[in-house]
Amino acid sequence: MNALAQDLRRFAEDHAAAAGEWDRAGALPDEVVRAVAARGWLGAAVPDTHGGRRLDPVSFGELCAGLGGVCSSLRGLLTVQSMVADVIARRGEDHHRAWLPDLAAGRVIAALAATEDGAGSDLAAVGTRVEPVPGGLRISGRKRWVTFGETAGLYLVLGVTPRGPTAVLVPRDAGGITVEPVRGQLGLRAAMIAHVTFDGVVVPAAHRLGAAGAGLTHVVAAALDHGRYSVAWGCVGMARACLDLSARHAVARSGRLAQHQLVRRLVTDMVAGVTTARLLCEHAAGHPRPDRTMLAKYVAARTAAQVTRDAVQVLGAAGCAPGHPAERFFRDAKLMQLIEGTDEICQTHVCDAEFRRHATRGAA
Amino acid sequence: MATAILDEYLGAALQSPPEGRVSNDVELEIMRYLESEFEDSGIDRCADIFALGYVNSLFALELVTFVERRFDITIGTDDLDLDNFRSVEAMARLVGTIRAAAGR
Ligand SMILES: Cc1cc2nc3c(=O)[nH]c(=O)nc-3n(C[C@H](O)[C@H](O)[C@H](O)COP(=O)(O)OP(=O)(O)OC[C@H]3O[C@@H](n4cnc5c(N)ncnc54)[C@H](O)[C@@H]3O)c2cc1C
Repeated sequence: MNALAQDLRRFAEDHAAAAGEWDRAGALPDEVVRAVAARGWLGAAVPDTHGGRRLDPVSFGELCAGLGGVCSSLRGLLTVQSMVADVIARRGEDHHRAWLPDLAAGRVIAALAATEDGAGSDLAAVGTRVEPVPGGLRISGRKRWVTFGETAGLYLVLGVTPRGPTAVLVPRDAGGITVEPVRGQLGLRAAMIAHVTFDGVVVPAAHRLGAAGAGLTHVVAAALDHGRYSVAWGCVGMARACLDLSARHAVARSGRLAQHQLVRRLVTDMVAGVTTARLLCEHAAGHPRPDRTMLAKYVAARTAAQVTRDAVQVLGAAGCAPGHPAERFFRDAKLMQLIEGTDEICQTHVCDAEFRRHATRGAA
Repeated sequence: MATAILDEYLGAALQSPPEGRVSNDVELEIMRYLESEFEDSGIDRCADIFALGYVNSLFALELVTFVERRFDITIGTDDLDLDNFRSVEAMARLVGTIRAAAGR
């Protein structure tokens, strides 16, 4: 077992039992965030030259799977922190010193504010305005469903200028930001989700990360691609955790359940699903292309939804008990089919990539 | 009619090799990548790839990722413009400009 796997195992031993309580309370305790930060994990996408401990794609994936197997909200923290850090590292040279060390150390939590009332899958429809004013850019609009939006100190905001969509870094203390926490949603209940209103918030012009027009296609899309990779591995982790719970339950009580063929079929399909999803994630690690990442996320999210559902089935009433990991993973897994590109959006893109290989010659 | 069918059948083979249709090594690399992506060996170096079928925003991102990795360059904020990725020729020009600026 490598060092990361050992750290993850120890972390799970220390914290997994409390994850049901975080879910019930609807909040991730500060000390858990500090425990993750202390291991350097919040700097997993920050280059070493800026205080991070950047992991290679497979190790980053293992980290997401490891935390995903403890708590999806916690994995969500790693996801948003890493996606924003990665975008700043790649596209925000002027902001490296201001943000990367703080993000790596977990002194600042980052969030992506893209979705709006009228723009979810179709992010090109966002209405948040970004206008030039004396002293910088003024941002006005209301963002919904911002993971860790409640505790974030830095938002990557998708807005629109007359020349097209753009992405802007907005510090929490910029003034004019109102945060409304969301509680009691289906899943990711400890992910400090919030609706965030930007009411004429002014930031320096240099906070714009993408040329107008490219902010969506090249900045937010790149962040979402990173997030998708992380969610895909997180799904592998939660599915694996549910497979373990199911198999352990089946062989307990002298293997009474393990004798039933129908239970064996459920467990076999869990093994098949988890293995397939993991292989696709490993494939995506070696082929850094957005459509491969999307395929991995699509399959992993569907697998997580199916495996967590079957786990509740195999576990029976035990898996429905308040605070049981199976019922929590079951609720969380459904959301994996929505976030970072819904199943249908993934289908559209994966299919486009396939059709592309067949279309031009016929048309010529 | 018969020739049309034969043309389609032999499609790829009848096209000239990419070497004959590009003006430098960078264009050649990009052309090879696109030809494998589209399984089409008849792409023109100046053709608008966003006008080819089934190209979406994710493919635009794929092109950025490919160009940055393949040529080991970082594309600056202001160069992240769809027009710089619209054709083999445009991408190669962008690579050339960034390399020249970096003194390579
Ligand atoms: C727990 C949670 C956390 C989230 N965190 C964040 C966050 O941190 N930052 C952020 O910006 N957003 C976040 N979101 C929002 C999330 O990204 C969106 O919910 C998601 O993109 C879908 O958008 P929507 O909800 O508006 O649904 P819609 O886009 O309206 O989709 C509704 C249904 O229509 C389908 N559909 C839509 N368009 C098409 C199409 N073109 N073709 C086929 N089918 C289509 C969808 O697949 C879906 O089934 C979060 C959401 C949740 C639930």
